[in-house]
Amino acid sequence: MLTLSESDSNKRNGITLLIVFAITASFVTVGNAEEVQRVASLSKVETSRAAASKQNKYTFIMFWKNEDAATKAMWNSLQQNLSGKKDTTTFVAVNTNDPAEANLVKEYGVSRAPMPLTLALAPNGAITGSFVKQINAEYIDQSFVSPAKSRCMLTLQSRKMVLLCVSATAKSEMPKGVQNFKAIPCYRDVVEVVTLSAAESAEASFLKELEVPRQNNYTTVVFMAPPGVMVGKYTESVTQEQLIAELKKAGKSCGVDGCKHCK
Amino acid sequence: MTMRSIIWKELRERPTAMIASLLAIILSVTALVAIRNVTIFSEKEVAGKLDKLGANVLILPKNVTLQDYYSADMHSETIPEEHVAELALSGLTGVEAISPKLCVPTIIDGRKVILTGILPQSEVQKMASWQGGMLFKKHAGCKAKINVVDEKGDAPEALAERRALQELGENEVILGADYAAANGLAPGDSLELLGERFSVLTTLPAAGTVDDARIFAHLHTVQRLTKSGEVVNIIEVVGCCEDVANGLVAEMQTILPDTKIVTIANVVETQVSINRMMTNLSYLFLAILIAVGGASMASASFANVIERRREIGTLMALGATPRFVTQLFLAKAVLLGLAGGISGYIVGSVLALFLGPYFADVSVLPIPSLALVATGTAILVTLVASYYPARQAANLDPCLCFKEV
Repeated sequence: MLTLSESDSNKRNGITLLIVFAITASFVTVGNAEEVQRVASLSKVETSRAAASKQNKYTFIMFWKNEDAATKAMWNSLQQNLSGKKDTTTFVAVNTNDPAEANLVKEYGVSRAPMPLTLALAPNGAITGSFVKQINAEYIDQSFVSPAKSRCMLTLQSRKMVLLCVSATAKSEMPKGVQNFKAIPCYRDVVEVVTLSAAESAEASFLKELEVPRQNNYTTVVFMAPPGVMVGKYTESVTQEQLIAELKKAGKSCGVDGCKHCK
Repeated sequence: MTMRSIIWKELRERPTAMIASLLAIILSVTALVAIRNVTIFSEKEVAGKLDKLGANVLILPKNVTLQDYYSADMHSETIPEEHVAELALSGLTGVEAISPKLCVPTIIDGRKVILTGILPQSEVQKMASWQGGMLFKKHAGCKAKINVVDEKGDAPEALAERRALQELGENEVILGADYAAANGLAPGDSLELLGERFSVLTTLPAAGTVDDARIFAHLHTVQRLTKSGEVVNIIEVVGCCEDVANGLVAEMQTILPDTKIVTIANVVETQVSINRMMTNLSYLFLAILIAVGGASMASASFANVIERRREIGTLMALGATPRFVTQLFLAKAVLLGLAGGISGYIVGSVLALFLGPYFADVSVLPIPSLALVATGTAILVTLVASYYPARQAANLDPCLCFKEV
């Protein structure tokens, strides 16, 4: 009897496992199918951009209308300066009149922009540079930004504010004032907290640009608002009231007379 | 005798010196109050004109004058729409909003309407945030405008107030109050326009302007429906006023050489120059108040101390302390400053009522806060001018005073 019961139990477990596996597999299959469908609907350039993003590469997209001298010069310049950086960059050209790339042209809203126009895209999708009619090695170099800067730029390009916390060590806690500000209902969805350690060498140039000394032994909070305005820099003792007051002072904001629920 | 009775007695017995000092203070305060009053109202008038205009820089086709634009509110000349992106991508410091417009008169259901194409700000703003190397740079002019998601500011109704719209779909329209009322249309309704169907996003409140009879649609839709091409009639720019005054227009002209760039300064140039002149004049009269009023008060106080040496000596011999003597002179100065400040404010405000319409073409009303400023300044000047004579009086030796007798 005991043996039979063990065998029943094993059977039941096996069936349960089979059902769970089948359900999981179906979800994965449906998910994959959706992904396959999405990828299949992507244009050539969109696919190239997605692949570059996966490989942590920058994408330079040159939009053009006519094959004129400026377009040829810009393309030549891109080839000269980026051919040797194939492991970190990829570059493509998009004719704005090409129906296959209509979605991409619409996404960036460049149908009426002066041409040729090159946009530099960080792996996270942030546009880190835009160059009209001409481009050179110096401009291209300026497009490569640190990971924290590209994250800040992406957030600002989504019309959201950034509270950048530059901590002295990697283990520092997020300042209380920042946590409280982020918890306010009307700011929760329009502010993103970005943290970085001052010791990260990749961020040295960004910190220099923000004029935040790397040797500070406390957390510095940098408050930024779209399109690229630095609202202020504070020490870790900054309070939520102070941040709200600074935001109000900086201009029209959710806290002034915007959000009804924040009055 | 108390301090008050001594001061009153002194003022009654030496009225000429008192009236001379008082007159100098009253005249200076009067001029200061009158000019400041007119200047403040004149500046408000300029600000009102700026508000009405919405933008402070207009980019027009080369051959169009500002009068052409304002008299008919539209003109047939156009400039390429790509100028909008050129401006947005240039990363110019101080450009806060760029609003291109294309106005096309058309007939819908037998009615003449002006179909106005506008570009949603979202399509312009994203370009402004693409300047990788330019972000977070210091802005020396007025505070850079921030652009955070904002329910109220982003609402379509904000078009009436801000003359710019955050979002507008290519199949949506916004109706002026008169057009909506005449056609019985409300938000959510649909409307046929030049063979295509549009949904009414919102209707604007009546503004008493030509906007009441307009239909606003996405710029690209208007260009397509009217076969106008990728052009606009005007680009309205809201720029930081300090940057506009300090070279922003010249930079724009370099970027867009084939356009005419007009600033609000051209529209209100006369009034701005009058304001500037009056502001300078008010500084001049402040200096006069300090110099003439102060000098007059100081000389009267010195003379007073010399004339009253015996009385001061007697007072001190009777037990008055140097502190009491100093307070005596300073209290008299405060009294004169107070009287001069209040009288000057009253006369100055009355004078401003007549000078405002005559000099600056603005109606003027008294400004109560100026009373505080005028009285405070007058008291400060008289106090400073009387301090040294008062100290001199306090340091008199009663024995020497009696010896002189």
